[in-house]
Amino acid sequence: MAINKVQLPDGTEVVIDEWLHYPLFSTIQIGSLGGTGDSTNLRAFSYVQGMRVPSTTNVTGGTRLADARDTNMVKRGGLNYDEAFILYAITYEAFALTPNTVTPPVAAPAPVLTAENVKRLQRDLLVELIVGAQQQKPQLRSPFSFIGQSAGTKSFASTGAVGLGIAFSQGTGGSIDARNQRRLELPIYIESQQVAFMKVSSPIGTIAGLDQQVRLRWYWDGLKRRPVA
Amino acid sequence: MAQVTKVRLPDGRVLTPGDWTSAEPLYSTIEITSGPYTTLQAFSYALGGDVPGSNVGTGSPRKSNLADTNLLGQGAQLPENEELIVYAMEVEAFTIGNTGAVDDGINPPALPHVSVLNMLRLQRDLVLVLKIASVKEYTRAPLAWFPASTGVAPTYSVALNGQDGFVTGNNGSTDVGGKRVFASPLYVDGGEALVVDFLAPKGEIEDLSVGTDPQGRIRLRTFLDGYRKRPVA
Repeated sequence: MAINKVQLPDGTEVVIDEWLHYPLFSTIQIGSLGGTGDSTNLRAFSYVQGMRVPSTTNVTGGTRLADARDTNMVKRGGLNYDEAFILYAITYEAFALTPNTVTPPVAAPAPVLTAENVKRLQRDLLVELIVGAQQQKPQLRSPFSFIGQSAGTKSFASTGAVGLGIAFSQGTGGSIDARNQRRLELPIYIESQQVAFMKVSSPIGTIAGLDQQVRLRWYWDGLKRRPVA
Repeated sequence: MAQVTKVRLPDGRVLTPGDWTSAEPLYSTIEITSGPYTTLQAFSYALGGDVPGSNVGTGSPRKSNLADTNLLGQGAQLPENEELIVYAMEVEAFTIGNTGAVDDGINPPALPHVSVLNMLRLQRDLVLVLKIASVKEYTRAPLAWFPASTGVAPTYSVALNGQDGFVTGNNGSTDVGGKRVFASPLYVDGGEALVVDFLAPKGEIEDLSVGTDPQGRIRLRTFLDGYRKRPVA
């Protein structure tokens, strides 16, 4: 059934006309060294293609320039004057940049992220959605574990070891399914030209045990008002 | 069972399904191999046309059959006597050619399964763009945003020698209910241009492993799922 009206928490009614189900996505990278993940304080949705992908200190090769895989934002840190966004849900997908190093007998060649490392990220990362300039009150703040992973690979393993005494390990943030994302009962409206970004941090400092470098691609799922030609 | 008699579009137009069906999705196939990659387009050809990407390594493209596409006409557009309301886009994957070599220390699964490594590489590096009327993008997102909602949930017994383990992947859930439904459906009028671009911004699918067989590749079949108005005989 087509949705043609959305009622916002403050009672405003938005009539969907030039609106499309068009997710926004943005990538960040978390490095690790010697089996410890970097202390993290990064901002997703804070850059456009051609700018540097937000990365922590120990990402191999340093920072790199973003391309169309990393983001589809057209304005850094917010929405353009001819856009608006109704955010219904947040989700992500995760890729390893390096193989695991210190947790035998488990093997995970990149881009596979071990189940253990996903669990470590869930333990230590905090996610905050900030909407509005100089805004200190997040629209959403939760541990990483609260947000389900709906995009990714469903995998099935045979029961044989992949090497002598070596088991394969892959983890995802919950069951991979389009429904596995934390839907907001009250959608968040981001106006044209409004500042909006997502802060991903590790308040505890370094991420103990993280032995893979990680690329996290965040999605804002929702309706986007597209430019009218 | 409820009968849908009217569908209201985001711009307020009301469509009255007449000779419409929801039982036949529109689908189209492309094939990807390792090495340099140029943008491939699903729905850019009609039944009997060349399958994009099928000529790489073999020199000559493969003619499409009904397993590849059910798009009729000249391709890259919906025939004049059809209409489509798209509620979901789904992409499924198969490995074809040979089983390939041991990949980064992990055994490859038997054909036509896709290894979890290859599936993650495709999800990492491919971005899909749905274009209608060739003017604007109607959606743009990485591959994993459009889960297959098809596939196999396999069960394996224990390997005999204990070291032949392998891991298969699937683009998202294998469950029919696991597809990502558009909150706002997309309407394609008869005669309108229609393609799905498969972009690889890096210029390749990095480390994609399809063995040494020139036919080795990943076949991606895209479904546009929704209501479809078919020609009236």
